[in-house]
Amino acid sequence: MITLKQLSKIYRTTEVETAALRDINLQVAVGEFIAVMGPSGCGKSTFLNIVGMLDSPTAGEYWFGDQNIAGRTEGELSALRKNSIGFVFQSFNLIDELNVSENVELALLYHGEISRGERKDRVRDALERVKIGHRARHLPQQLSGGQQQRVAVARAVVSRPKLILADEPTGNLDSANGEEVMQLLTELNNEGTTVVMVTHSHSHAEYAHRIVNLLDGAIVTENIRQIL
Amino acid sequence: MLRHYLITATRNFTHHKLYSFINIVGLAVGLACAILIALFLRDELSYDRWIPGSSHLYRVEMTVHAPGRPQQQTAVAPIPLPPLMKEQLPEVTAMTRISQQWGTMTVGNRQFSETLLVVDPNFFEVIRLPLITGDPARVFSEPESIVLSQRAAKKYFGDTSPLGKVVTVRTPEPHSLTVTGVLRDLPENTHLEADVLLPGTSKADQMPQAEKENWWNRIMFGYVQLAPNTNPDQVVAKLNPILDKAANPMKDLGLTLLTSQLLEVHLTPFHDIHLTSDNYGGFRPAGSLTTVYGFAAIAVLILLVACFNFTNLATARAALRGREIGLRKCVGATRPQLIFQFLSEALLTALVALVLSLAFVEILLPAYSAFLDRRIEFNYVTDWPLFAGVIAATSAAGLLSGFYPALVLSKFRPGAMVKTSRAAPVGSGVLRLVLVVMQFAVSIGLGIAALVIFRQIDYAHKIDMGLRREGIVGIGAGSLTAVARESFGQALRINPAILGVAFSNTSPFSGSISNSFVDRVGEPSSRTLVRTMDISPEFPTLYDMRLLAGRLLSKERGEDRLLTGIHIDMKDGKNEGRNILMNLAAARELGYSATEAVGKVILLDGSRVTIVGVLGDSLMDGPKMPVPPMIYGYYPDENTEVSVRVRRDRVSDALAFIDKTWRIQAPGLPIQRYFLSDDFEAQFKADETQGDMFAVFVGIAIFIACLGLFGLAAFTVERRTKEIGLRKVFGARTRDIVRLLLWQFSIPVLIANVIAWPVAYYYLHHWLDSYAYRITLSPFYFLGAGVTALAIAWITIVAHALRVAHASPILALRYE
Repeated sequence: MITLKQLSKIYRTTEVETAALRDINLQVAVGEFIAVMGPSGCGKSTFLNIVGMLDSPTAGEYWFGDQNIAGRTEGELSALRKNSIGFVFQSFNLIDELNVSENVELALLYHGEISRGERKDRVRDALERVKIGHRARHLPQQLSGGQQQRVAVARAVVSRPKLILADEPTGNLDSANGEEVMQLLTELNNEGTTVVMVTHSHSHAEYAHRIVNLLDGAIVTENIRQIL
Repeated sequence: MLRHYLITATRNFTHHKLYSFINIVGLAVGLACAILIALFLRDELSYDRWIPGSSHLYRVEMTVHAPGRPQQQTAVAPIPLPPLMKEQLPEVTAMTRISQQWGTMTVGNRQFSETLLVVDPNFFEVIRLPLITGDPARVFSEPESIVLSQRAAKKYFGDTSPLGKVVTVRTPEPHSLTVTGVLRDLPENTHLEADVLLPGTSKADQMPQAEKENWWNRIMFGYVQLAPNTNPDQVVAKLNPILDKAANPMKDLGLTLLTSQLLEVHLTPFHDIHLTSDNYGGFRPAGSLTTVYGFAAIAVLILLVACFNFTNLATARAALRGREIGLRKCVGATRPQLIFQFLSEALLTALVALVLSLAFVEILLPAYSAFLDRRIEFNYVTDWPLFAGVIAATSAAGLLSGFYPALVLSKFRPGAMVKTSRAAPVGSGVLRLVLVVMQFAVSIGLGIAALVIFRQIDYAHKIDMGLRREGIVGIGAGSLTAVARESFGQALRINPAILGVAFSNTSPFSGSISNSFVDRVGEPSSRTLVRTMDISPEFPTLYDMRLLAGRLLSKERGEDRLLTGIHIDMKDGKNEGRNILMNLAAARELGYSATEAVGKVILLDGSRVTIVGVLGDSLMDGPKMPVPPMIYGYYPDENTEVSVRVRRDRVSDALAFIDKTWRIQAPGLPIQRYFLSDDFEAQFKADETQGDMFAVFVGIAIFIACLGLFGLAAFTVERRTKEIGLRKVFGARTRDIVRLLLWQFSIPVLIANVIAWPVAYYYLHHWLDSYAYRITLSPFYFLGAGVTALAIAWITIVAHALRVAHASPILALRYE
């Protein structure tokens, strides 16, 4: 699904040049569950941003399926993103002014072809999936951290993406809630969704098929795990 | 999708009540002020435009270029001039004239003192005022006819029709006139004032026919109708040689000037009279183009301040929504969609402000009308251009405030924005700084203007006028004979509540002017125009006018009494050898000091008269006009104005006695009395109203600016919570933090002063020129306004500064 060839990301200011990623070569197959690990500042978030088409590489190639992402306009990337990728963030990133149902619906609003009725149905299904349907009218401030993250997962899956990118999804959760979120991600992966997850947690990384270790912007090791 | 945007916008309002309140109220107040000022300006600009057929009508006015005197503009013209124009210029298709006179109306057994408009018989055909009854072409076909306004008709005849009824007009002889028409009460927005009109062919017209043919003695308001597409300047150019042939200043006044050099004729468009004739006479106090422009500028400035505010706060708040924007981009929002969202939110906020502003206007309109002393209305249908303009301004404010943050925020890469809870950078902060600076520059400029205006008005009130006006009651006694007037005065003097009585042909501040030419004997080149006034010998003493040299006139000296009025043509030589007084300005015009002038013989309109005394200068026209050179003569027959000085602690006793004595002297005649100070105050009414309006709008501009500063301070402090916590950890005290924040917000105020001061100086210097006696533009006004603005800014933000300065640094460092 994802092919990265000699991918680099360099941040330049007038005085300093920082290589956040250097010559990354990686392939992610459809249905894989990848965990990306590494110390702070190694480039994990930058990696995720580029894979999620939220940022552009400075050099190298990025193929998403059979589409070369390089040189795409913001509009084209936005279209690709909304149709193919779901995001789960460490700090949940729910909109405080919208309730749970509306936050999840947000991911479908920019799909002009989905009718209002269908949106409602999908939202309901997504909320039921993550077992938060009973809090549909609540605001994010009224939920616990784990509940908020479940809403975020619902938002990520409601558009039925091929790929889910999770940036330290359990980073702000206690172990019980963290396990719950990992279970959800695993279930989604079992259903065929590709998952790329950045994490600090070794135990959560164990859920993945493969662990990619980054250091100073480069891949140093990959551990391929097979879940039997 | 729109529904979603609406929900998001509405929830944003309610979640951030303080900012929403500040934003909406600030813009609403600014819009309301702009609407109220626009209504006032619309009213000012609407004068006389409603009179049918008036688009080619002009008033004939003059500038008098008398030798040795500053030029003098007047709203009137020599009486023969308009008929001459009609007769000799084909471009002039009609003319009519108005003379304002005074008389007593008797209806049955009731008497009323009235202002009479004596007009040419074709008046209603030329100036088509609305007659309810009566044919405009025929109401004055009979000489002894009269037209009443609805108000006057109701006063005299109640609800019965006045048509065909007879009234008696005493001027002072009685004349019976038949009511031939009723005029609809004139609205506020006209320069004309008409309740009682009669034709100049009537015997009740007090002006003798011979006077109507004289070019120099008498004047009237004259109007001419020009043919369509006629250029009035070309008409005046054609008129000048005709004027030079018709009147002869050399023969009549001994001046070696052409008439067109002495009298510069202007044709003022009828619709422009109200706004262009301030300071030089008219039926009612005129408006002023300076006022119109000034208030238009204020409206624009206040609206700009409100819009700057709105934009600034919206931009600041938008920055905090960076994470939301990043998220929306993650789920597929395109840049145009985000821009549209921000713009619609901003537009919605602006429209809410508009609705609130209209509510403010509706609530304030009655009080505003009362304050301006005129009926101001806002009809959303008939005033649709104004309404459309307001909506456009509101939309512009909304779009402007939403556009910038939408454009800037929507272009950021979402990756960085979703990762952090910090506010996204919206521009470099320069725009916000500029907007705050502009708000305060406007407020400081208006503040300086308000200080100067109030100070000037106060100065003009307190200036030494050269005469004491307090405690003077004026009585118009033209309906009494000279003997009866003297008897009236004697009767008044015996009352202990009355301190003195004097007579004159006109009273100070009345605006009534008579002029004559004087020159040194044998030196015709010294000829100069002076103001003349008939007074009784007690007049200077009553008014506390200073005697600088010589003596006052005396009843005991025969030669002190003139044999004809000083303002009438003295070429018959009857006053040869008589004595007069003059003021210091007149003495200087003739090249004398006060002591040098005493005993000198001069030519006054050709008669030799002796100067027996020189009085100090008195501001007979008020402080807006320079002191006129004055000649005073004693001719009791013309002294129809009685000045009575009453004791301050017994005013009501004095007034009661005056009324009682009048009833004995003039049974059946109503008394016309007034306080001289009221006439004086009337000169300032327009300026005071303007000053009050200024003060109110300055206060509002400052309020809006402070509102914005308050919101901005709250926002900035919130953003710097972590920084402030760190500073405290590393040793900053509370006062260090407060000083840091106060200094941050002092910079825009200081920069605003640099901008506001020169602009304010330029305009105020020009405004003060309208006063002959004026204050100087002291630096203290500028410093005062600047310091006040700084103090207000500090007061506004100190609460925020103290709150965050006292907060625990631990909480601040846990901020993220």
